[in-house]
Amino acid sequence: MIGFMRAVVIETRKQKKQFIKFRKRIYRKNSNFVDDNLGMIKQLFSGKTCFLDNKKVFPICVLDNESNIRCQCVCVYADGLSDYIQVCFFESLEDQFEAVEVMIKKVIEIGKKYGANKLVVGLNGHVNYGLGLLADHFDLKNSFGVSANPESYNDYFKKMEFNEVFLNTYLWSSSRGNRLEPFRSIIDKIDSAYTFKFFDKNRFDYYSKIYTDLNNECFKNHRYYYKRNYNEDEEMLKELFCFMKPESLIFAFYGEKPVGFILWYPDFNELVSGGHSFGTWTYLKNLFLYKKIRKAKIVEIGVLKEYRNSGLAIGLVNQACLRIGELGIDKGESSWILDENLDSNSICKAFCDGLYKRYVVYEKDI
Amino acid sequence: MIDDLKKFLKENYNIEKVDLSLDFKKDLGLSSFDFVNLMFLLEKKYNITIEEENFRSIVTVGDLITYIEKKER
Repeated sequence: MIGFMRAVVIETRKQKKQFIKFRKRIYRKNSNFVDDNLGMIKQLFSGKTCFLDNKKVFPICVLDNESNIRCQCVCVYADGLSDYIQVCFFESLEDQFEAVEVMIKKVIEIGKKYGANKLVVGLNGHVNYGLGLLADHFDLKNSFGVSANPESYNDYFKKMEFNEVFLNTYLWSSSRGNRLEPFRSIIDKIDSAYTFKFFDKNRFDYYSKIYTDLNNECFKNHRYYYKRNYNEDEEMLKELFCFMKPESLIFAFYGEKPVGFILWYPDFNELVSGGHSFGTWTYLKNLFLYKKIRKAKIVEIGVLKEYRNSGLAIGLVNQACLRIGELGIDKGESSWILDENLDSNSICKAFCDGLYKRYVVYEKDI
Repeated sequence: MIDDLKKFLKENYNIEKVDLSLDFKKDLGLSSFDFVNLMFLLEKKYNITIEEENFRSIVTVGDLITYIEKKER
């Protein structure tokens, strides 16, 4: 059976079209899931994205003897994460263990060429573009910005004895009461010691650079994180601000110094039906239906190390919750948090109703 | 003071072994949130106010005891 499968690094326009078509087919089959990454993949293929900065990118399809795609991924080698070769944007038909095995062999071959000694599945080039395969709650729609996949994807990598790195998300509902209220005295202290400013689109470069610098400093020792450049975040934020309001990215200043930030947004996937991708139509819907979205997502909280014991994270959560409340949104979800991240899990456990979906990253030595 | 604090940490954080040199985060395993919550509870217990910048400068059990003793004087 394995003899009939071949992994092909795709290059032609026709092959790229087939790659996209396969992906759309998979999502249509899994009608709960919204494809938030299709736009990114199209940009990758067009060559017009900063995603490609300092990376080598190899879209791979595994074809059967009739040249039908069985599984596919985008293999990425990032200069900033030189130990790893990455399997990004993985999709597969059901029961394709042999095809996935052929794909992994091809990825290892590429990785070794660049001197990588580990393989990671589920990292989309950089953590800011996505991390993790869905590990449970396969029957629920994915929120904006996180992956969605059938359970079977996990079976492939478990069977190949990859190591698992888990990520947690948390859910909260304001119907359970305001959990911040008991910490009012801390919040008041934070409010008087720090200044909070929304992202100012009129000073896009200035705030975008602050965002990049804070990301690079706050997350520098986190697993899979590597330094971002200004262009990458500027591009990402420009896209996000097509949908987001300025109050979705809030910075904390201590005097004149930016020391922390929080990024949140309404769950834009509520505007898209399962089985479809996030695109222009969603953007138009967003103009009219922004206030109809019922759930928010807290995507990132970053605080410089020397300010972490101050309670600033609680102050930032409070700032975001105030803005979320103004939209009439009464429930929310945290973005993924590495299981090993004690600080972020701890704050979520305190303020959320409980653990929600889990995600998993697969990795192995090569 | 240290015995009082030992009892408090045992009751609230299930921390058994406490001495002055121990770092709240590195040695006692408190998250940033646990630490802030501890400051918050101690404010109530000793009826004191711990300023925000002192939250950041208290690193060890010894730092905390010195700070509370000064405040209580």
